[in-house]
Amino acid sequence: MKIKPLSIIAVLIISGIIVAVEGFATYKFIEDDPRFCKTCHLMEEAWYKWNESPHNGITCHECHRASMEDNMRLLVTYFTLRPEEVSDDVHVIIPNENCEHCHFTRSEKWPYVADTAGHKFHLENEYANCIDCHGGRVHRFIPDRSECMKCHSDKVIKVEQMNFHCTNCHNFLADVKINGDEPLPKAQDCRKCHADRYVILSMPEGAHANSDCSACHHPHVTEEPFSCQSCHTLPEKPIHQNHKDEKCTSCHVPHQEVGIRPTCESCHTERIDHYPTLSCTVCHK
Amino acid sequence: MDVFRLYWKEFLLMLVFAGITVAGLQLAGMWMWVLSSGAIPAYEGGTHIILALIGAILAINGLLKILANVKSKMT
Repeated sequence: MKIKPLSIIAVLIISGIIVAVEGFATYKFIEDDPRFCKTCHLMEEAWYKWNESPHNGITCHECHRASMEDNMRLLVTYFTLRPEEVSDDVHVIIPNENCEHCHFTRSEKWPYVADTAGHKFHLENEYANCIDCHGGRVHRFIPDRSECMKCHSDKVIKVEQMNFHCTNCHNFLADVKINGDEPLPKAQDCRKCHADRYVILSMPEGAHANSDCSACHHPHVTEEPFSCQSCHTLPEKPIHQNHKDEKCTSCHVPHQEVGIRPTCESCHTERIDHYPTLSCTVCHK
Repeated sequence: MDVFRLYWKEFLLMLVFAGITVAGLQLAGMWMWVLSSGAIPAYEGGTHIILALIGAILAINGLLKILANVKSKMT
């Protein structure tokens, strides 16, 4: 049988080009197309959660980077062991640098977190990995309270009404230049809910004006505010000694704008007409 | 051994065609698996499968032509 060399070369080139192009398309599909990951039924939950998340514009491999060796190991594992759940290998390990690539660069698309109190504290002081907080619920990137409790299980809330997400008080995204390096609640964080508490003590005037709410309130320790005696001893002045059996807050009413005279008259009702224009403490020291 | 030395060009071409055939069939199989998982639409998977099979069939055609040529020369 006589064959034309030209026809063989033509067949070689055409078949070679078709298979090469198809091979490249397959390689790009495997490396860059998230739909490839969906082909594995183990990935379905993770895939659908990712698809509904703000990260659905970036491909799987941009975060889950695997070497060729890792890829081969996954392929062999998948076809030989037929695992029923995703193991803690290259699927789960996401180096912080992968997150920092977008979230430590100012852009309109991604939140910039490099200078936020919560992130700075956890990354620099506690050497946390981003996925410690953001990866626990697989592609549900906003951590819920259970993520905080993994490390802070000792932080029990003693005030029943405060049974909400930690970040309501611990302003994780506060600017370090404004809130400092630690995500501890500041007065402005408390006032997000307690807006009416702009007065701390009206008597004596300006008392505790510069104190943090945590000077008296510590919801992780007690339900009630700390007693005044935790810091103050009863003054020797007669007005204090004469009322030593009363609670401090009977006269020093917290978070209320009350004058001296109405405070005294609330108990001493018979003295309403007693030098009515003078403040009681002018004479009663 | 003399056969290989005599027809080395044909054997080399056959090896290349065999490689292209295996690659084409493997790619078609891979896309079939992807298609069966429902991850991609049928038209997309079908296009890839058909293209890979065309490549493989062309390569088989070349392989068989050379094989027939070598056989006819040998007899």
